[in-house]
Amino acid sequence: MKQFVLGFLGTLVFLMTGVFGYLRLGAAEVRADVAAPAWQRRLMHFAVRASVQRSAPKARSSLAPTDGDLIAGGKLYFDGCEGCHGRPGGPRRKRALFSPPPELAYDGTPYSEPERFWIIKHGIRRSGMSAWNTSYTDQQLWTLAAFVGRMQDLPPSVLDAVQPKKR
Amino acid sequence: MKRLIAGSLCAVALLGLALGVYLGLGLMEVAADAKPAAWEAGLMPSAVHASVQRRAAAMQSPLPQTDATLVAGGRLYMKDCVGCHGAPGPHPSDYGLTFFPPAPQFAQAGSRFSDAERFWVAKHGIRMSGMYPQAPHYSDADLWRLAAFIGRIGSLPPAVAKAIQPPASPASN
Repeated sequence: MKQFVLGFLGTLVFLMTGVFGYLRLGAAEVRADVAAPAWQRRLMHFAVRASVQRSAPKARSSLAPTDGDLIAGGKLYFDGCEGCHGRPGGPRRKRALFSPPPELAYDGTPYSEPERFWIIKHGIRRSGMSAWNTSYTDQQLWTLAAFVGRMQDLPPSVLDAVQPKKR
Repeated sequence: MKRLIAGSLCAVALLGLALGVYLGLGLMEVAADAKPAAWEAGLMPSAVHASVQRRAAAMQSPLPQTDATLVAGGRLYMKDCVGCHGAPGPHPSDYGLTFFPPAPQFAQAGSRFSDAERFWVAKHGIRMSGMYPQAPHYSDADLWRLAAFIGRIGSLPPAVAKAIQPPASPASN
């Protein structure tokens, strides 16, 4: 029994020292221009998704998004989101951020509307997704969440209204 | 000996299980607007610095340390970096502080990185932060200019501080 406890505790101490040493000696890779291995990407997406699911409100928005709401959200999207997340109908670009931001106009999103609302409001740690609660009201965040959910099948009139006008 | 190994394996299995539960049940905090724990705020920046130090140490700026270098770097900074890292002066960038980790506010906090380390960070970016690699947008010479400017951003020669201001439009001030 004594041996078992010794092995157990010894291993814990060993692993913790290892992690601490790995970090303090600068062995961790920090370059954003080197791609992460696939297992890491998958594991992190899975963990972030689980955390958002747990934290996001369960209730849907009070909006029953009208075209007016979609247009309002779309204008915010073109103003603050398009630079990293791409534009409907625009070219697909490879972005340099680590983790790469989802290309919403092409890939859609696995997140529900309340989850999208929560992500935009609070941001995602250790990613380039900042928290927008200081810039937008809840109402505005719901219109954004609605717009992002419909980005792949926008009514043509909405798409037309939100596109920045060519000069 | 057999018991020792059994204890060791149990520890590994338990840690693996705990990690799986932590990630799988969504217990990991992902909200960027919640404060980090003190140990995390202390440990992670040191880990990043240690990694950068290890990789950037041997480089040296090829540029002369002149005001002209600072002005050239400052103009780039005021165009592309100021949005997240803040302008020279007392005011941080509100936008930069909405990230997790928050974008360092150089004018107030300074930079504990060396010239070579700043060059390296700007060039390659930092994983799992909002800092993306600038290599596709800037030449190495421009990155060295930026690194030099950021190193002096808290104590700029007045002539440099003036020269990097965007030309004032008639309406302002």
